[in-house]
Amino acid sequence: MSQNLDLKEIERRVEQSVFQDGLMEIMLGIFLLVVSASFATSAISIPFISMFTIFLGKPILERLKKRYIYPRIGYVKLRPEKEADPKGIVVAGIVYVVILLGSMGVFHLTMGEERGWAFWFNYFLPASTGFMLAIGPFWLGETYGVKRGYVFAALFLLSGIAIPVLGIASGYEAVGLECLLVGMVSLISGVIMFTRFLRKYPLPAEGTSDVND
Amino acid sequence: MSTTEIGKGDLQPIADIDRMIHEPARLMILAYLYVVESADFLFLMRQTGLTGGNLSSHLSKLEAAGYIDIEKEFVDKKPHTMLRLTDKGRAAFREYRQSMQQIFDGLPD
Repeated sequence: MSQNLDLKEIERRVEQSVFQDGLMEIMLGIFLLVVSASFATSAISIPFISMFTIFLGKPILERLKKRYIYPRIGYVKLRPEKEADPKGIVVAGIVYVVILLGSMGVFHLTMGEERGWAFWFNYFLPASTGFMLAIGPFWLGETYGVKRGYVFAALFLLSGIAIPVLGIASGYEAVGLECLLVGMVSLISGVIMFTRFLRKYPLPAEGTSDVND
Repeated sequence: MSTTEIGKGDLQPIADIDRMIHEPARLMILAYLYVVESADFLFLMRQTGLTGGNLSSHLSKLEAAGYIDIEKEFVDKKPHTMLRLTDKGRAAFREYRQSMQQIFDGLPD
């Protein structure tokens, strides 16, 4: 028994229980749909949405978890090295902007001003946005063993490349469509997961949720 | 506990095994607390499948041994208990794992 005590498996089970409720998918879906709408209408600033999400996303998610999740399955604090660092998201955003600007220069130099700009805007921008958006879900899969993280990462990557290559849309429209597609998948799967979660874990009876003195 | 290799007939390390940890329910509780920073009572109950009374009794024993910290607070006027492994508990669990590993490694096929 004990010599086979698989702590990695226990850790994986704990981490997966943290991500089983679907709330993160719902939040991601709403975020992507708002981004997509802002591409379509230009009514909302994308940097504003991103900043809003980075700084308010976690507190909102935590509030929802306190209301719906912790009373059902309890609360666990993962080890600090396993927690997501918001600074990492800001750094990734800055690196993404630098790559976009740098690649624009490279395409100008290698393909000429007009062709370089057209290629960058129509193909590189949607593909690199897909790549950037894929990092988060991929990290989730790698760090916590959440398999659907890989599915979302693949969806981002594929839609970022396929939408402009297949001629469905290009440039900003392609990015907007990419967000719409993945956002809808994320929101629908999140709602299904959340509904299942609520059914699977009803609220425990009063008095069974704490240590007796 | 002795950390020497176990040969045939040398079963002293088995007698030295920490019985506080060796009990299956407590071993399960410690294993869960070992891989996280902290957890509350309900989370451990859900994960281990133990009843509230059973879990509560084992937690009290582990606290008395100095292996876990039990922190009680009130959230929305309801009692809420957070549990974490102490340094002593972490070291004891690690030593237990090593000892068991050595015991089984030392047994003939």
